[in-house]
Amino acid sequence: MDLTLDPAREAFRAEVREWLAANVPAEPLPSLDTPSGFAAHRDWERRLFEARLAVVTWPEQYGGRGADLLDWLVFEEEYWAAGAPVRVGQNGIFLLAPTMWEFATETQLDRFMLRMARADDIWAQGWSEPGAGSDLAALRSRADRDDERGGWRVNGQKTWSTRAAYADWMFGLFRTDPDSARHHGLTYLLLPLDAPGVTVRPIRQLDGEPGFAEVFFDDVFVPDDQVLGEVGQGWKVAMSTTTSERGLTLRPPGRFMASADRLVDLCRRTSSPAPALVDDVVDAWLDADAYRLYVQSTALEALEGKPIGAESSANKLFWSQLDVRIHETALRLLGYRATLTDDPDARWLDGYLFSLAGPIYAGTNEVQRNVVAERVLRLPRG
Amino acid sequence: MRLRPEPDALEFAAAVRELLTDACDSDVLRAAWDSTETDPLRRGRVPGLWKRLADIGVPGLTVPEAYGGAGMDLTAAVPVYVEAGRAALPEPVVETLAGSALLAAAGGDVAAEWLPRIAAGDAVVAIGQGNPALIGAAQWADLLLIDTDDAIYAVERTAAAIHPEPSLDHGIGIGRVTWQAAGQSVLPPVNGWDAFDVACVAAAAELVGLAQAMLDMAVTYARQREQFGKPIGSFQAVKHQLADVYVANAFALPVVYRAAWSVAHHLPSAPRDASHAKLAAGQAAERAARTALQVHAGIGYTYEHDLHMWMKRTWTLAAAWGDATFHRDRVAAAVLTENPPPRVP
Repeated sequence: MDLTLDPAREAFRAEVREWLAANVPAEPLPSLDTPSGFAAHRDWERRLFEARLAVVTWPEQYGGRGADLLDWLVFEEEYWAAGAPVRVGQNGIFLLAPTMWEFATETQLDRFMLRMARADDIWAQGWSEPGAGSDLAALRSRADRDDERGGWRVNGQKTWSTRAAYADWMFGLFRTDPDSARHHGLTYLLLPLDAPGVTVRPIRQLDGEPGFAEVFFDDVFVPDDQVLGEVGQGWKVAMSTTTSERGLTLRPPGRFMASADRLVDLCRRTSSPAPALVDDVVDAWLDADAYRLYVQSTALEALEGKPIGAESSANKLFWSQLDVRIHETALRLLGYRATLTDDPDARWLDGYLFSLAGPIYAGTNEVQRNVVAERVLRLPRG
Repeated sequence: MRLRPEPDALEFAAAVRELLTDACDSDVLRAAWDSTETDPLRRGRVPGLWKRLADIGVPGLTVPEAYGGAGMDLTAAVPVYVEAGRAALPEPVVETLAGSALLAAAGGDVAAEWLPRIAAGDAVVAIGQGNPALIGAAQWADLLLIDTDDAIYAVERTAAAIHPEPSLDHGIGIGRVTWQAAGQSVLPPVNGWDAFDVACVAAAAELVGLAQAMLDMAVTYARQREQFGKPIGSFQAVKHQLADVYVANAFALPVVYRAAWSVAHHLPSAPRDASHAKLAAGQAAERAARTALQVHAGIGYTYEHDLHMWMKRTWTLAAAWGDATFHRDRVAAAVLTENPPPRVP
């Protein structure tokens, strides 16, 4: 065992820390679910890009540094500790990009990746539909062949599409074989949200802001060069990365370490907190630390070539529950102030509402428990 | 950076597992539990097993080479202790690791006399506090290291009155020790908390192994046992509980590894990390025990099924070396302070 970080990584950490200290806005940016806030967050992404800090794990030609997962964890720890803005481009850079590296053609990479890194294109996700939530394979949005124009005509509806209210592009799954069922006959498509026939209707989330949207497709043409991977192999393309590094990169430990440290700070500022509350503060702080160790350990194994499998489901269960607990504990420390939206500590309330989405998105925790039970523990399918 | 033991340590643990699978299967364990042996030195243990483990180097693993041990650091012991837990091994494992760490740190005549014998499996050490003192493995101990307000005493078995205490856990060898300070050897001054932290790491590793074993038992049972015409493991109500056990245990193991590193290197965060390990592993194992019982249901509630031996080991080990409340308080002091020690790594 060796828990020392090598000097090159420490130097990287120092560089990131220094840059963030000089560049993170002193005042928090306005909510990214407002037009001006979205624009401000996009500007911030461009500054990160100029410093070559937007996508550190990507190849240099696309604006990255070719850093490995361990450096990425270092970057994220510093990023969250510095209180830097939420990443408005995260759907693209953390969720779509790993799929692109695995399945995109060179032409597609050249067309999309640099623009993604620079936040020229912000991506929205197109998975859930009114009749397909946890049971994603029940999706019905279809893409019909258009040989004349060399592409697909998309009809149907996606919903709960994060960032779609202001995003430029969408990635998602569509049924290209009308006679297919379930996981077969699906294709992974990339489509611009300003294409003719696309209607985006923002949905106000629990906090009242349009954090996601429903998106309607009415004969939207998608050319063949916007198919990712093979036609009919969409399920495989989509799932390959849910169990690869994406399972790790969805929620980096730095995020929860920063929250846990702020929780400890809040507890210390609270006069005579009840012992039971202090216990919960301690448990939250320790679990954030445990999450960090687990992710580091998984990342180290990934660097040695061990595939990341259902660890990503265990991961998701752990961080989503941790995030809720951290915020619940903070609200209990705030007592009667907890629901005041103009309170100096109101950030906890925002964070709490956001944390409640954690056990729901990216595969509900019930689905994740099924995955752990069936793929890790090899229990029979129901 | 590497967040798990070196390959040779893992290989050694695999050898220990192989030996225990053969020499301490559940029939052997049950025989030890139900033995009518009256000599407290042997009661509850598996005859000859400690010597066999000593022959491959278990008790001497972390004993310095100068005292006849292998001189490995604490991180190498963790996977071995996980195996001890997996087998619910009824031997003085935690006591040996912590006791020998205490002796090695103290040095002097007592260490020179006892450490080689402990490493060879010829003597058993136990470790505790106060007078009278309730000490795990005291029934089996040749040497008792007892911390008091003024010094740590090395009390030989013959110089103490050891009253065996019956326990729900037949593999604990616990006894009430009454002794006289006058005439006993005193260890050179050393911080007893360091050995306590070693014990926490050892117990935590054992708890992870116990939890893994109980999860395995429950999963195996859930695949076989049928109700409503299906294996009960196909029901989500069962699946989800077992998934939660898996998650708790999977997240405890790196915490235990990290604690071993911090304690081995005397880092400022060592006490906090050791407490974290004991807390996380204890809670994971208690959850595993509770869930395994629920999944086994009626048969799990019987004495004839093996599960009870693992559950009872879990309960006593989770309570020993500081329970959850103790360790949470200890962490609170190290986290809520002005300048908490930095996280490792």
